[in-house]
Amino acid sequence: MEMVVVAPPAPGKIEDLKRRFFATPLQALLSLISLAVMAFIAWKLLNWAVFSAVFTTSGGPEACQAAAGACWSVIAARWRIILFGLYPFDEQWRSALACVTVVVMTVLSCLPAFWTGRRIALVWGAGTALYYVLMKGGVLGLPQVGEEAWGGLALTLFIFVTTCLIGFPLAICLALLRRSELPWISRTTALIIDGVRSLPLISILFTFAIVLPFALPQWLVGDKLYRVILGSALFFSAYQAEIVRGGMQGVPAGQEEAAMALGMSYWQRIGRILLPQAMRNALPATINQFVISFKETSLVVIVGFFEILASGNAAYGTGEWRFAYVEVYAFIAFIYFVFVFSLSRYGAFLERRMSVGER
Amino acid sequence: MNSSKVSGPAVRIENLDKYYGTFHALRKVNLSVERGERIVVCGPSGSGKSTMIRCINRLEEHNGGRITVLGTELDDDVANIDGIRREVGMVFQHFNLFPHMTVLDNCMIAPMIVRKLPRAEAEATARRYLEKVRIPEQAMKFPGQLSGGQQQRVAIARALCMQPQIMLFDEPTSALDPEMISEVLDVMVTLAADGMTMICVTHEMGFARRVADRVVFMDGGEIVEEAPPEEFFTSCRNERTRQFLSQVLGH
Ligand SMILES: Nc1ncnc2c1ncn2[C@@H]1O[C@H](COP(=O)(O)OP(=O)(O)O)[C@@H](O)[C@H]1O
Ligand SMILES: [Mg+2]
Repeated sequence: MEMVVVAPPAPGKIEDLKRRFFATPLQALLSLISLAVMAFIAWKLLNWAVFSAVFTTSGGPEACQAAAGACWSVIAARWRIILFGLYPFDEQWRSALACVTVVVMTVLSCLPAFWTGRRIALVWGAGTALYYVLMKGGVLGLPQVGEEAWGGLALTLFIFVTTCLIGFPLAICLALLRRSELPWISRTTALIIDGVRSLPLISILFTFAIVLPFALPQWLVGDKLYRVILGSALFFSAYQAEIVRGGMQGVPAGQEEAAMALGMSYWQRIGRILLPQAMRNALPATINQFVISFKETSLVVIVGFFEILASGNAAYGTGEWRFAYVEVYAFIAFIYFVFVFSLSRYGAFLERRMSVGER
Repeated sequence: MNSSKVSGPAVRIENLDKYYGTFHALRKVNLSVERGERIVVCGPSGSGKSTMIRCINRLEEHNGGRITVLGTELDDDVANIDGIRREVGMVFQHFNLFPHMTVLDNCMIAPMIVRKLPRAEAEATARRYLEKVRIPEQAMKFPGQLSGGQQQRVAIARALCMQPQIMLFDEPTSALDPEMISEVLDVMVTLAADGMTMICVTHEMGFARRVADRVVFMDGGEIVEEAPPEEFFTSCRNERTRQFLSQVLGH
């Protein structure tokens, strides 16, 4: 005897839409109203952003004020301030190259092909050195530009990347110390983590930038920028340490036992067995922490750095473009979006990649 | 550690005491295992079987007595512990395979990073042992894609790849569905036939009968009885042993 089982035909797109949104007359009415509202908003936005907008600087600010739409000419006129801050005008190509360096370095280290200790170290070592030489100059015939003049996107990226670069290994160290078998080590670490987490980032930045120089010997003070980055890395690591610890708790005890039984040393167990699994568990929360940190770089403005948001303020704040702040913020929002969205998509890629073979 | 040249028993346990906090888990346990000998350890749940074999490779620290493995006494010397762990393989109840690595990598990682074998050699060894446990075709899969019986056989292969002189098994079949138990036991029987020194905690009495040189019965943290299998099953003296046997053989 033979039985032929036929799967029911998959409903077509139209059928599906009908069933979801037009099942009853009331539902149909609500769907139509929502559709109309959405279309209206979309049209208004599009009209403002494109059809009635001014794109060229030729008419100056006056042309903008006459038009009904967006004034994108402010971006055309002031993009250099937004991207590079107070960096000397003639040297801004260096700042642009530095941005590219950071982006390339980040993208490279996101590629699985670069995930060996030596390659990552090479990428980051060469990348940061190149960034520093480009931005600071003083060698190879490049005029020197002090850290206080760095700004805009280049500064935002630099602070973010170095915060993560210092904060991430620190977080792993803290997480490992916190699970130490020696109670005084784990308790002290817990105290540090909880202490840092209970302070607002602003107060930490302020302390590192303004207060620390009074407490430290002169030779240890360094530039304000690096102190700020250290503070921000410390803050990042306190949160990230808890995320990593959570990931470690999700790894069954049997994993470490199996590694021990095979004769692996402590660092081999940590590096090959515990951390890879812990980081896989911790990935979603980690990406979240990266996104938050990226946006929190804007807080450095309170200690006098003109990262991209503050540079945006400056771009419309002076003189004739004062009215065009919406456009400037829309532009900055777009830049944030590009970076944060790429970060999130990369996180999703990693999750897919790591879930290979998972039950 | 070149201990194959050292004479004396593979494992000698003398007056072993182990406490968990105030709980006395092992009470003056004595056991000596010769090279090539196969020991089956059985006993009710909570009697200290796992604790005893985990002391042999220092997954648990003992609190009294002496453990000598392949001529080296287990103490706080980390070099000794590492040396012994290299020579003592262990198979766990819940397999404990590394889920983020392929089957092949599971088998290659310890030989490569602990024994410092070159990759090609480690891979050849791994494939040989996967063949031996009869799953060479699963080498590129991840543990999560295998059945319980297959995972346990990979776990055996992983331990064998370190080329240990002694193998410890802690209830290797008790987490398996009944139809997978025999595939794992078959592998263990082959291993026994090759002359491996084995200490197996198991309730598989058929296996004990077939391969064990001695059966050890534990209860309440003590070794209550210790005898060759035919003697153990037919004429055990102890009341607790008889009760236990009637339970595991009763159905
Ligand atoms: N890590 C531990 N902490 C506290 N008590 C434990 C621990 N491991 C085992 N025990 C106790 O020690 C006794 C022996 O355990 P175990 O060796 O696992 O027994 P078996 O393997 O024979 O079932 C049990 O009573 C168990 O509750
Ligand atoms: Mg047990």
